[in-house]
Amino acid sequence: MGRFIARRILWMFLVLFVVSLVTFFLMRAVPGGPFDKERDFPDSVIENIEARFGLDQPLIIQYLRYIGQIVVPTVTEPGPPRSTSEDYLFTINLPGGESALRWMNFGPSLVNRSRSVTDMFRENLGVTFQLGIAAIIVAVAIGLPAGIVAALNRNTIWDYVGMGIATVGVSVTAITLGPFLQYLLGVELKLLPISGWGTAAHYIMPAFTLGFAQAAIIARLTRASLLQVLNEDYIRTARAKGLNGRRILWMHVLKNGMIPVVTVLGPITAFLVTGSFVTEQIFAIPGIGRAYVQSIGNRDYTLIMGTTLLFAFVLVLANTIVDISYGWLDPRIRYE
Amino acid sequence: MQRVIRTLGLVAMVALLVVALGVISAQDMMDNVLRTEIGPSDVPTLDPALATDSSSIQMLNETYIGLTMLDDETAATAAGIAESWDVVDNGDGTTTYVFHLREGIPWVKYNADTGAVEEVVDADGNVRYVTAHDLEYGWARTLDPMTGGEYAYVLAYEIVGGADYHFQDPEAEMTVTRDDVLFGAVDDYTFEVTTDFPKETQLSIYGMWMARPQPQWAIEESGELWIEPENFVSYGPFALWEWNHDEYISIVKNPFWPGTDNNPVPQLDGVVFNFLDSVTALAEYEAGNLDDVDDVDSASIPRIEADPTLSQELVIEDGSCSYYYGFSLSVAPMDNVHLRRAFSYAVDRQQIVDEVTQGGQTPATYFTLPSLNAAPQPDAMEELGFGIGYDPDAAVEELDIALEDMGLGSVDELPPITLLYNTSEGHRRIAEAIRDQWSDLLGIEVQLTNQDFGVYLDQRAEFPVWRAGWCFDYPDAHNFLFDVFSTTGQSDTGYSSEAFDALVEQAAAETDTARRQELYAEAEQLLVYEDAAIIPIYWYSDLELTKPYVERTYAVDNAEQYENWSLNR
Repeated sequence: MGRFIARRILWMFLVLFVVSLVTFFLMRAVPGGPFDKERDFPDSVIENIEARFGLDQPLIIQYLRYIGQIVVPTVTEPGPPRSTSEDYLFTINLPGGESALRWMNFGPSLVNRSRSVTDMFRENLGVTFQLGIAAIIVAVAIGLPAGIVAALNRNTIWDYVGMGIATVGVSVTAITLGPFLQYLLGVELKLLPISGWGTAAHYIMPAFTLGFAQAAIIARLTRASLLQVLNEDYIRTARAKGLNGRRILWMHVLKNGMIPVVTVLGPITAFLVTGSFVTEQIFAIPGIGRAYVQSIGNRDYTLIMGTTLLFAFVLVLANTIVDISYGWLDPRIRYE
Repeated sequence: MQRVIRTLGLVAMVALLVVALGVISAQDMMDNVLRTEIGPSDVPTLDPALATDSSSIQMLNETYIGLTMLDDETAATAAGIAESWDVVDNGDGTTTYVFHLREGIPWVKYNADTGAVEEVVDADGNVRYVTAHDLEYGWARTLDPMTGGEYAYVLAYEIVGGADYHFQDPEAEMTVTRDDVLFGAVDDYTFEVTTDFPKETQLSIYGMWMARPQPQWAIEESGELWIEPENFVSYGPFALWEWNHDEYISIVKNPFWPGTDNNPVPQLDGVVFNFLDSVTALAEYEAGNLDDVDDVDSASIPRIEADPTLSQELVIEDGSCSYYYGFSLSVAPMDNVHLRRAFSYAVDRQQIVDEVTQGGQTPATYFTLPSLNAAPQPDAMEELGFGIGYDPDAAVEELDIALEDMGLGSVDELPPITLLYNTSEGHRRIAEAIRDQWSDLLGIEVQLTNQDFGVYLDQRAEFPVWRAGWCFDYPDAHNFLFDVFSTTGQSDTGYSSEAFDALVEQAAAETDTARRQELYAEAEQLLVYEDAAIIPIYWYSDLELTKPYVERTYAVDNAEQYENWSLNR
């Protein structure tokens, strides 16, 4: 188990390294830059600004410098950052109070001139995670029971209604569902706030918008998986042995039927925590997903790099957790 | 199992209801604060030296007043923090402007602990007032090549030595220093600048955002973070109130602002600008949570016009931009002027405006916005027979000449033509309509391609024809014709005409507005007809929804002056 986790962590660093390399060179290969406007500024103006952010250096130097700022810890004076290019995610005040160990500097945003990418992580990341977790709860709370009910009542009205809704859920995108909910629950019924973030009520529409499609996926998968398990010999054996129905359902059907569901739960979690771009835009939620989408159009290089690495990290982490949870669900699976 | 689910469902419903009710009752209503939106993304900066985009400039226009300001409804140049000015002809081809500043405008800062705007004091406890030295520091910082301000060069050209100083490589040794640039404080309330090319637009350029006073002490103390709410100082009608990045920014009335004729003491206590997508903004407006929407979702216009309430609250006014298609004059087959003219004649602008954009835009027969100072007027242009509009017969005629010129038998022998636009639903619909018009009338099948903004800007000079727009920085025809299409200008068309350059340079030096209009009219005729470097398509409109209880002005340049607004709820 320990060796398995260690190996996965090593693997994770390798993945992040490759992602950083590919993203960096890909993003710089695309024409256009962060300082392009309809107004064609004199070349020297753009050159001066690029020099300010070190964008005039050879690409490989820029890459190494960028990675170095993240990976290599530095010792500086203590206190809050004075510059957006010296903002570190982690600060440990060293004994004596004269210096501080700092680690992980994701650089200044090239577009929002008073902000660093680290600062955006600090302020916006939490919001995206909260929204993601709320959406996971919606997805599981709707998807799982719907799938179970449909499977246990196969070919009845419950099954058809549940799966009908699931089909709609998979097909309707956030960009349609979001404004629809805004008009229905916000403008017409005045039940929920239309946009913004802060109170519990602000969570409901975005979490539903983001989680509904995933709920549908989970429902369909749960149903299919349970139906398969219900036909297994060991269930028939359990029934024959006279085990009561509830015990069979909880101990045998659900536990075994969950393996495929847990498998997709990893990517779904990563998707919900990171894939909230559209939902954040529609509901004006100050999350990192919105910043990510805007950064690409803006060519905000440091922000593109920072958010891509972050999302890659979340994705790899979620998959690792899923792999570990297999062993608990199915003892036959070994960590080799 | 089913019972559990049913119970859970019930609990969820109840919880939802409780939360919803709680939200509505807890909504704090601030009576005299205007709630509006300012587009989907955060304001990039509040630094006068660095601002380039409309939302940053909007904030600066409320917190930092320039030497001169624009009247929001007429765009005429009015006095700002300069009470008056003298124009001195030095007799050596240079002209010096001497600005006399208003006294008693304190620097202020919102104190979140006391909830009040307070005057800023120096180390000795004396109130800091806006002086000519702040202005001198601001100009020097803006022009410093190390500062990296994109708009600095607009100011640089208007000062003797400014361009030589600004366009230096800051990493090499600087041969021109700040002292070689002729501007500075004479005393605390007198500021001087010398130019070698005096023209009518100068006064408005000296008042632009990058030419405003800047607080040296605050910038040196807080570095790049000086524009964050805990550090930001200002002096205009409003002060920065709160800035929750990516959520909203708000400004609060500055009680210490003395008020000028053009920028009076505000009647509002504050303005909250939410960062909202246009669809979301409209929903918030309909729900009564916004008092005004600046950026009306264009796809919702038919619905708004059909709605009895919304249609009453909608105002369509002249916008600040011109929409056109540019030709790359050296890319075949658009190197042929007759073909370009045929393409331009074949565009039915009225149909585009009526059936595609549907937002009250005005079909354009030339480039410059008619609302600008010294801009040619549509009726005058028509009287002169100038400009280019939809004319199917002329289009076919020009096409025949073009084919003959190129020695081609039919349009099928033309090299393939691709139209480039930057990715957007609106641009796509216009491009499709124009493609169909070209196809129907000229029989030429044009391919469409789109790229995201960065790629599009980079590549458009390689495409024969491409979509473009231009919005004014300062309200004078000079900003359209000279800044974009003179040989030193900004355009990717590759247009370069000695006759055109002579006309716009002469117009710039001229002081009589009627004479300037005539010269610009001739320049337009060269641009859109004689040389047909572009296809003027329409002048933008500006759609705004405002609740009936808001008394307001409509700013022609889209930078609203909220100090002229009031609420009568």
